Amino acid sequence: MPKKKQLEKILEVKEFYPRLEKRALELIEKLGQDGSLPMYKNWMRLVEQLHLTLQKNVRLQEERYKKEFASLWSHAYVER
Amino acid sequence: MQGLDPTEPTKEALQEVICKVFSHLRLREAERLFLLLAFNISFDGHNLTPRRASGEIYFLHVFRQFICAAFLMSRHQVLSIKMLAAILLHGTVEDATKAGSTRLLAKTTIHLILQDEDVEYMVMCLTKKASPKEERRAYLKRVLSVDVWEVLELNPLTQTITSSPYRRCQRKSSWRKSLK
Repeated sequence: MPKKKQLEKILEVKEFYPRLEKRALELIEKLGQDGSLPMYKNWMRLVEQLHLTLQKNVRLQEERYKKEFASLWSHAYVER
Repeated sequence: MQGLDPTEPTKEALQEVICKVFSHLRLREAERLFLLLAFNISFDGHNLTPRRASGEIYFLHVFRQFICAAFLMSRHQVLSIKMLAAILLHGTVEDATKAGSTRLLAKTTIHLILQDEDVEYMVMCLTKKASPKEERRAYLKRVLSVDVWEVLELNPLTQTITSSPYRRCQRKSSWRKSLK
């Protein structure tokens, strides 16, 4: 996958995943209080942990790509 | 997964690994059988899918996601067999054409062999539409509108691993070479 496309994907994920997390947590809590989802607090913890890891991954990837882009720009400038 | 050749792992070797995961999760016989069926459908479905850029077979990517999800569930003392099956199968319908099959055939296989409406629904929710081709943004919006929390979390669960350890090793060695 080209780097630009990968960066676009990362930014989309960054935008959407907090919304997914919020909605999933709401649904889990609702089901837990209804009594239809046992161990719902553990599921909530799992979801939170998962999104923390994802956020960290996204942040690291974004930094890496930005650095790569920056070095590409500086090379282009030197060549010119 | 140590000791596995990342480019050519056999089905038997992966089955051995999955059986170890089953005993770690303390699954019942029926649950083991259900996940083994999902494993077989997914492995056979991805058999002809082109390899990843790292050179490894495509199924290994799915398998790694499965292991990661199982580990996460075990750590939080929860278990959803249906979610684990959906993780194994999430790309089977979408990649069917790449593997020389058809989406309908892949969907029918899941329907007939697993006979589980929930797993089928989860897999279909996670499958990008083919015609007209669904863009990533539209796909994520569609996932967001689903009322089943498992579906909402399946996509992030399959995104926890961004690149293969094999690829990371390659990247590290090329980085070391550039330092010399």
